[in-house]
Amino acid sequence: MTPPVRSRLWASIISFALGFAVANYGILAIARPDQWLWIGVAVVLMATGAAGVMFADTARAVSFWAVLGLELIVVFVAVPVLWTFTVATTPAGQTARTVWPQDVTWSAFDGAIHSDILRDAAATSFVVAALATLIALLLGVPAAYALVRLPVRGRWLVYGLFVAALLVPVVALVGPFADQLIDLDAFGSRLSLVVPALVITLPLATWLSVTLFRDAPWTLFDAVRADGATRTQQLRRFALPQLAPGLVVVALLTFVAACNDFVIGAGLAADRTGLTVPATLLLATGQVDDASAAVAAAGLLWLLLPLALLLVLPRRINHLLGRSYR
Amino acid sequence: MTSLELRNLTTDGPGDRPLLDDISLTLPAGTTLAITGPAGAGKSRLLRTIVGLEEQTSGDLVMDDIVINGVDPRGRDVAMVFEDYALHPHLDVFDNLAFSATLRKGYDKVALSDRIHEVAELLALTDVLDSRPAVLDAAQRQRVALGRTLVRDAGVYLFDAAFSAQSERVRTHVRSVTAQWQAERERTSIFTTSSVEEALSTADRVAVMHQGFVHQIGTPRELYDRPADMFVAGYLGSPPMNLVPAVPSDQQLVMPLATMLLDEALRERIGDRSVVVVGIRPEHCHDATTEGGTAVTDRVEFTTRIDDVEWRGSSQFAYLGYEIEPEIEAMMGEVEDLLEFDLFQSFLVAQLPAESPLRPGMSIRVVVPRQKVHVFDPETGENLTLPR
Repeated sequence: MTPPVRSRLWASIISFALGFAVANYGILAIARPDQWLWIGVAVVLMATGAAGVMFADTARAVSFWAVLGLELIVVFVAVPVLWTFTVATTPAGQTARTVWPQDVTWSAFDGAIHSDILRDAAATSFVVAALATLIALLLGVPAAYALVRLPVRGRWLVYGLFVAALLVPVVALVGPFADQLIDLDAFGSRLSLVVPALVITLPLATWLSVTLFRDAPWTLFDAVRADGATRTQQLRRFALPQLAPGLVVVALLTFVAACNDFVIGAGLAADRTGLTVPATLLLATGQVDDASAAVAAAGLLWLLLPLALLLVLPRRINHLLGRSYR
Repeated sequence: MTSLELRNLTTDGPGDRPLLDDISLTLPAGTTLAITGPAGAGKSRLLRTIVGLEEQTSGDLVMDDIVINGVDPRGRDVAMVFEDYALHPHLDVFDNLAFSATLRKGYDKVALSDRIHEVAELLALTDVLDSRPAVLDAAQRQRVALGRTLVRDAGVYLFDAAFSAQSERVRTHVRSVTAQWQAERERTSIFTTSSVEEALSTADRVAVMHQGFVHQIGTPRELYDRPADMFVAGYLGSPPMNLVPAVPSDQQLVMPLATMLLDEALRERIGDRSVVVVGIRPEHCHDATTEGGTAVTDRVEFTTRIDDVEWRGSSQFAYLGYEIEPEIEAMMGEVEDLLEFDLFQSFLVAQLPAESPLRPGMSIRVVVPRQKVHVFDPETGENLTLPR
């Protein structure tokens, strides 16, 4: 038995055993309709085990560990999303008791869209994130260009500081920010959130742009210059086709990250109108009717933004986040 | 038709050694120059400086008797083929070929299109004119980069290793097509290449460059017959010139395998040097028993054992091993370290006619015409055989 065959058989045994355990627990301890979910997962896992045994001694380029891992990831991601959906669609007055949705009503989504509080929050989030992204791009893109292209002494130290800033716990900065804003008499206004939001957007935009610029075809830029392009032609015929699409993705990713920040919105907003969406979902639930359903619905709607981004531009996002295997 | 002149062009490097070391050369309008040298010689740096992408530390660039040091690339009007092709990934081959021409106002669309089709025909790109660079292989991409430069009208043309990706069979053709196109339009061009044969066959004149320094500039024949120093001698030719340490003693020069009589002039130039380096080209070695060998009158000859034979169809190479004293070997090692280049071997290569029945282990009598032997100073590399 060769090592790959043995490894495949181990993967088969583990996924079969896992499936068997899930099936037993589901049949014995879970009530319908969730029982069908458990059985479905069990069938897929046991089928993977069977397929693993069948293909163990073939030359097919497939890793059953990877298949098993993928199945587990899908389960652990899909089940919480499904649960959120079930909570959001449970009729008012009832409590969701099964993962599988029973009576589906869309009123919570309707309520989330028409709720004034959530609308205000969305506007705050949008304005703050858009402004913070714009400023971050204006500062971060030239910084990234300098970090990649200019022979400056110690530039990788500066780059290291940017990466370190990505990892700073924003909570630690919120207190001082709040004091400062109160001193400046700006506490509670929407625009006052823009400057703290730069803590998130500026390092992120710079970090993503560094990746973009590092892989940009600079010899092509040299060739364009050697061909005798003017400044405008360099921008229009090199920067626009080669760099602009990447920069758009950098902007969108930065925007989404800024939108998703909870700490700044929650810590620096004085009243309910200044809260961002993530902060509203957690703090303002008492003011929304049928809170858990509304929050779940708003969360699902909120999820559409990054999901759309990922569906439209998967390759560029993969590349910028350093997961490119091209 | 533009002439180009470099005056004492120097670019300081990060370390002690400059990237470009006091380079002066003149390129009359309409001529071609090939720059050859090992990787890292500074060839690309030199071309990038001429085109205006890099700045020199000191020295002047002169085009048509006008100093262009401060002029930007657009003002210099120099076309360049880049070593890594530098194609526009989002444009098809036709648009790539047209790119530089469309950067200037008032070009004639029809004439440009005709010219692009002509160049594409020459470079076998007609079938891929509508393809993007991503679907082309490396050789085709390089020909697109080459074609973009041929299409353009510029003062001076620079080709940085512009044929390196072509397959052995196609390369000669692409090279001659390019050279012919340039010659018909009387264009001033510089080629760089790490292939000696390519340099010798492409250009009117050849410059041998190493460590940022131009060792010699001349016609291919001059470089081959009268190498200015040991590096040029060892770099040119394939297989390269045999460089053998030798000890002058009175009227003669004692080498590991042979002894050569010195004439008065050469002995004077050697002076009181205790060790020199003797250079013998493999193709100047003759088997004493063959016609070529007996015809040589003023000769250096020696008998030795053949270590190995390589048969090449048109000729064969005999490898003749020898021993060197350790202190001389150490000295030669120092010279190699300084030059960062392998010049010396512990065997001598003789290129002999393919018909001779040679076998490893047999003994052979080798004859070398004395006027074909070069003598070099081991430290400066200077060729002592050349009249000053």
